[in-house]
Amino acid sequence: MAKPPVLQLRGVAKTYGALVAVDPLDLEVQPGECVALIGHNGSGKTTTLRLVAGLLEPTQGEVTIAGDSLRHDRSRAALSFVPDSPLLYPDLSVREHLELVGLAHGIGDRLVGRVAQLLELFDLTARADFLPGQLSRGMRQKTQLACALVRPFKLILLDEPVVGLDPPSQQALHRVLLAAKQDGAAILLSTHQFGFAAGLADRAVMLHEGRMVAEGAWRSVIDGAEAGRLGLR
Amino acid sequence: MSQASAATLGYLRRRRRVHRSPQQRSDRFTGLYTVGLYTAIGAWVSFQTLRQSPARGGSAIWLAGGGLARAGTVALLLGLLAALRYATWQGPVVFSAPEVHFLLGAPLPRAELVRVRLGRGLLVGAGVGAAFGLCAFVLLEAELGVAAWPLLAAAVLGPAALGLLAAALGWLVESSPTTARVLLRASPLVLVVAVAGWLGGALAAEVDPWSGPWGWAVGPLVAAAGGHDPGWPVQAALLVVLTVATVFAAWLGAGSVSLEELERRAGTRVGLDASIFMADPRGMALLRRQAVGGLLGVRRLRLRHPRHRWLAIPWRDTLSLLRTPGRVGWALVLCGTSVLTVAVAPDRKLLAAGAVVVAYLGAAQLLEPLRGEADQPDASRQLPWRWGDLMLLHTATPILILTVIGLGVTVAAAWLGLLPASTLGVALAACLPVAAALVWSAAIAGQRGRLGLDQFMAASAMGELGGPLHLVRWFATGPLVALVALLVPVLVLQGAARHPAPRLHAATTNAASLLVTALAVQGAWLRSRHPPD
Repeated sequence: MAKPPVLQLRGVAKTYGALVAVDPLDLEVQPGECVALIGHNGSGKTTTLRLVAGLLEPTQGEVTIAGDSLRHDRSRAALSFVPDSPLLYPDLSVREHLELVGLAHGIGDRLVGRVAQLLELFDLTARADFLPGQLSRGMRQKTQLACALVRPFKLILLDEPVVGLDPPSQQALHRVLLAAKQDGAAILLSTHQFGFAAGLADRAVMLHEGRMVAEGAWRSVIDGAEAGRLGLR
Repeated sequence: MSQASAATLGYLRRRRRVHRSPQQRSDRFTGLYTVGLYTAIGAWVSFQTLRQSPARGGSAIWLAGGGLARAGTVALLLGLLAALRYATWQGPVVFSAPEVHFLLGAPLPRAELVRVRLGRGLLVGAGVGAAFGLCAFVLLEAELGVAAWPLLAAAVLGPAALGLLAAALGWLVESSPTTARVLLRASPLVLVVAVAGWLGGALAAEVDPWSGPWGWAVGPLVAAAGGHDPGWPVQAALLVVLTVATVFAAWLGAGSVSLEELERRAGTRVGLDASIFMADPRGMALLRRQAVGGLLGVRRLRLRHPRHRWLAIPWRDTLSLLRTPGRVGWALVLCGTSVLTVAVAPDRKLLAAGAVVVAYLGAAQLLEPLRGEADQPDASRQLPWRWGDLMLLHTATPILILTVIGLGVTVAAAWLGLLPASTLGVALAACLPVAAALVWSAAIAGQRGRLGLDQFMAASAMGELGGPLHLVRWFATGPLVALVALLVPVLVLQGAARHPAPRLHAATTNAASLLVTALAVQGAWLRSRHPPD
């Protein structure tokens, strides 16, 4: 029997008056699968991610995570989200952010080791006791990513995750996400960095002006006619 | 001023004048005219109302007996302190961001450019002092009815000189980060000493020569108001000498500020102007904290995290408050004042209402982490709780701290003999629910986040009366909720205070029931909330 999808969007749309941000969209992401949302600025990638994260209410349609509606507490526990700009508490240090998220998700005895591992991975150990106001944009982005990875999840949403990251951190993130995929986690990411998505994304969904214009295996979408027509290659 | 500076500034002034439309000039004039007119009318109406008040003269004995010297000295000290603290993040000399880049970046003598702004800052300082003095004159003349011209001269000139001194000192603070740091660290202590001196009556009924410039500005006023202060000419002379010397020092040191400092303040000013325009005090407070935080640095401390996930939010809130102990200090001062006020005058309804509002402000000090959460609700997506539950979790630490403060102050009040021994048990038992009611009232207001553009636009569309009322309702929600939750039980108890024990017991039960009901409603309301848009 096929596994149920981790993420399912059924006719999900978002409009602002006459402006259509996302046309009715159907999408499924399976466990262990990575789907990349690609398209120009304003094509609806971030809106789609925010709809899935529950930060926006769809105008129509339904989003389910591991079979649960977004209103259910279980969906919050299953979903990890990295927004396009870092959202950190100004009064907590890097380490405390990780401890808070890990603690809130009941990691227990593994928390200390997991925090140290992620700090090391993203080269944050020396700045673990710094507050966000003392960090560069890239460091804040790394902290945000570490927060999303310190906790267990079935689905991780990443909105332009490598913007502001140095090449070693991009490679580290790539490795961590591959490992998460192998452990059965689903990934939905939006990116303009095709080099980062290659080797990670199994499928691509191309959006243009809120509509899905192409969908399929990563390579076929990137090499397809629509990508050429829209100048995305 | 050098020819290059004069030519550049002159050119800038001329070009700006060209770009200022007649409509803008007219709006500016209308604004100034309206403020002037309303101030004059308000002053005249206040004067007449006080003059014709049946209670007039009641305070005259207190004022002549040293009250004016004590109140005036403390008020001017606090004013000076506020001006100097303002200078730690803004101050009398603030350039706009383009001016920092184009004007101060040009090869022009910086001192000359700064002096133009400093001169304006000194005038504003003197003007604010004079306005403060004018208010004092209206109140004193209406109350005392003494010779008007000497009183007007003393009331306006003294505070105006102190305002000038504050602006000059402000520039010295602005141009020296070390001085700014010392001021920020020492001013809470000065504040506590001033308030303790005021409450304890330790300040002299007369102003002494060593009472500092804030006292020297009051001496002539006391004399003009008919009080006893033979040393006022010396005090006035001392104030003039000190002010002139400080202004001279500030003028000479005009070029000593770093470009980095001026750029930082210019950046803050952009945000501050936007916050003022949007009637957003939260935005102003965040800007101030950010600017001051850069000066003071970060308090490094670690607190071992708990093992249970439900303690995660109380743990992070405790960490936050440990990093800003001033908030707990303010909560102690405000809530302590509130408890002592009710203990001293238990049957005064208006005082009880004031005490509830003051205690609310104390509780609100402890809810900064909750407000931080509401500032960026998307950040809570990494946490596994619904918004309403998260808000309730954020109130656990503040309720605990406020309860401890309440217990401590109640015991102190009993020890001082302000609270009868028979009521001590009930008062102690009430600490936890009262703390919860105060904190939840503050949480109900805080979880809405900052005043949004939609609220501001709604207020703008409601006209001259409806708009301000809408904004007042927004800002007054928290105190009003606290008053509804706490004042009704207090009034029930006050009504039964002079009656025999059985009726008092029944009133206590009724008050407790009302409080529990209010708590249930508050808790359910908070739990049902969703993140702000």
